Amino acid sequence: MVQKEVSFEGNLERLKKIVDGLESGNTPLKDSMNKFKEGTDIIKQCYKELEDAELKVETLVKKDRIVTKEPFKR
Amino acid sequence: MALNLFGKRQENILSNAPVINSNLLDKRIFSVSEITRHIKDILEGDKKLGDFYLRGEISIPKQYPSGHTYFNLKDEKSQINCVLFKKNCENIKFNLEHGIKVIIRGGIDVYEPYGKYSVIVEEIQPDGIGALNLAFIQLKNKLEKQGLFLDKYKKQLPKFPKTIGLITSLSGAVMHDVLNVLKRRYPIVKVLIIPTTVQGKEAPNSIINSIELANQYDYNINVIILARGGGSLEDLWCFNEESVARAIFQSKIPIISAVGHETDFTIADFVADYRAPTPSVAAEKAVPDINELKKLINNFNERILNATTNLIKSNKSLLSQIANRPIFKKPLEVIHAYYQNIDSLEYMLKSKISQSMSLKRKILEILDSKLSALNPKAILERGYSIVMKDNKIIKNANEVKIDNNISVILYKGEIEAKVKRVKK
Repeated sequence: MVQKEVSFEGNLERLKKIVDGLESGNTPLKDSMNKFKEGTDIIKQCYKELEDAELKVETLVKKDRIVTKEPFKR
Repeated sequence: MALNLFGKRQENILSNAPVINSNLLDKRIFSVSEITRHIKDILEGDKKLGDFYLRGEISIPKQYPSGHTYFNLKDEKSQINCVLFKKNCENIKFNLEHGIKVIIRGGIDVYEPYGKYSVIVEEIQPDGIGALNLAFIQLKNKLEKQGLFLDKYKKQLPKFPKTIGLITSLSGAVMHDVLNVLKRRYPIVKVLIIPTTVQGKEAPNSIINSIELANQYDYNINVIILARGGGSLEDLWCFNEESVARAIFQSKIPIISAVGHETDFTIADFVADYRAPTPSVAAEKAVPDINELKKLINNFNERILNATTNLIKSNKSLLSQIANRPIFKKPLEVIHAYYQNIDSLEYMLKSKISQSMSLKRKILEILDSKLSALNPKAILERGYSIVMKDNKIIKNANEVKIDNNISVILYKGEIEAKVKRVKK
């Protein structure tokens, strides 16, 4: 899916455009149905991104001039 | 000047000097070095002149490649030469600028090759304002002039960062504050902590290294939070270093600064792309609120559903409106209407024709009656007859003679006759 590469921000913008377009009532029915499909797909994807909720924390650790990433433990 | 001073100390010199008579020949003749040495001994031997505080205004400071700085200190009436050696320079945070008022601590030194006395400056601090405060103001003015604080250089913070670089000390409460806010507000973000010394001599380099590290492409950091908890001006000083300011300015990744408490302003704050009053606020500024986002998407979801449902509804009703039109409902009616139309046209046509026919008939009748009135047969019918001779109608008796054969045409039949007599 091409959509996966779009940023969250890009998705929101696209959603806004779709909703505005649908609400204006100027879109032909067939287009509207396609847009509806696209819109609901994006919404699903956005939800999915937001639900994936686990703060990941890593620390940069310098050892012998080599910097590595390590999981951070509280 | 040296002479003036020399004059003041004349008694002193005389008491130590050999006996001098008014006769020149009796007087001891000094070499320049000798007298200079003498002056040096006196001035440098004086307790008061050995270590004193001096208030005045810096005039025309000059720093030499050696690292030593020379300037005059002056007041309304006098000025005195001052030397600040390199080793003492290093501890001074602010710049020695022309015109600033200072208090210096130092002692008199005579430089024999030039016969010049100067104050060797041990310490120097701004008069009426703290040294750090002055340094802060000076650096702020300098960087401001160079445009480092201009809005046009402020990078926009990403609305939905994926990775946040947190440049702070591992030991402070700051890190936990930031992490807590991020966890509550936007738990889908990734945080990369870059442990950094944020106080003391090591701090500037540590901060600069961390900023450079955070800018490395492979970490994919979208926004940097540069944070430190509250402290004294000295504690926060590393955030007022020019090198740190320049590192912040050069960062390709937007930096949110959050140093100290709400009331603390550092140079880093001015250069940073966004200044947060506290580390917690920095964390809030760095990420959106996930609940707000969910609401926003919910709202989009509702709107998209409503809009589409409405669209379908309105299309349906439009369709049913069209389907209810007579042409679809009772299509024959329309045809009937045409039939009626045709009928009425036909009727009209017929009536027009019959009208004109009867008129013509009447005319014909009239003409016929007229014609029949003219028909000789009709006349014959009434009892008249026609006399003909040699197929010519005879209208005059002259036209015939006795014994002429004539024919008489009657209504019915013909009579052949012979003229017996002619009456004229």
